[in-house]
Amino acid sequence: MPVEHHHTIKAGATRQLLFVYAGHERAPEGAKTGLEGRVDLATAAFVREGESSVHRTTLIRGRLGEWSPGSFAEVDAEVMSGVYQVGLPDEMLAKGSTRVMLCLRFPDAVIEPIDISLVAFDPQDAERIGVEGLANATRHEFLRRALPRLTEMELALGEPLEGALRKQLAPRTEG
Amino acid sequence: MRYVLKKGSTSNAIFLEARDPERNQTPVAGLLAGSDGAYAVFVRAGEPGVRRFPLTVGTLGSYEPGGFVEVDPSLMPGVYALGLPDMVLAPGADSVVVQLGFTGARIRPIEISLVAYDPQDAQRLGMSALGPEGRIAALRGAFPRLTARELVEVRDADDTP
Repeated sequence: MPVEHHHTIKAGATRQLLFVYAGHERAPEGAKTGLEGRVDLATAAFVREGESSVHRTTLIRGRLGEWSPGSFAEVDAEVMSGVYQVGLPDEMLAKGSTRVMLCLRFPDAVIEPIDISLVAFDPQDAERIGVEGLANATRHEFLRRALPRLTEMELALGEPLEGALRKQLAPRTEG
Repeated sequence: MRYVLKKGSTSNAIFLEARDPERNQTPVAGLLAGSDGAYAVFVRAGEPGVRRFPLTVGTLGSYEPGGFVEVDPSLMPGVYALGLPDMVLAPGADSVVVQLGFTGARIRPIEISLVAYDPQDAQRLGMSALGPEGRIAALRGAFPRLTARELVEVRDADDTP
């Protein structure tokens, strides 16, 4: 399997794109190209842990690098044969489940199920991986409660400086 | 299939896929907990042997230890849900492999990394250093005289202001 079909995504994330690999049904090691034009023949459905029914989703032709729910786009049939981009519907990643599995089926093709762990942290947050306990607001709240007399004045003085520093750093971290 | 789960977590259900090794790996629908030759085993790192657990008839969306249920034979053929018995994830091992066997179907081994942190804890990811006790210990270590004078015991500053 040249493309990993297991992913870790923050529950509630939106507009997510993933890559999948399609092989020939009769020889799964060989890449299956040209599926983008056959989305009308495809079946797509996902199941979320803890839910009692399967959600059907409609596949539509997509464009590489652009998200839309259910979009399906071939990456490059020549140099990346068999690799496709899928736009995940937001409701698939909604909070409330810890894992979800998506199955894509095309005639004559084999695509391994896409298995997603839905987690509380944010693997894409470089500052604190989405852990609320590491946020400055949470730390300051703790300090205010633990050392009320000391922090009453000091934290109030420090907040404007912290805000200025955050503004200074923002363009660098975003770039 | 590979999962990362907190050691000691309970009532976990996972999804898995069954394929036919003799028919170009096509998905296999219709497997039942009581099918002939069906078995479920697991091995935990550092333990001397393989352990079996019984497969039972499961219900989609409900957890039951060993509960095995087909998700949807028409929309998701070959996909099944399995309720992991809590003993599979018990503390004491860092990894575990679960294997299910059925006549005429191949299910890849399910590898589970058992970790100390909690991927489902948005507040502190299960890390005690980020809790009030860990923070107080850090403050006491850094400012022993100041905290001896000033520190107010905080039970859980993270939850309620």
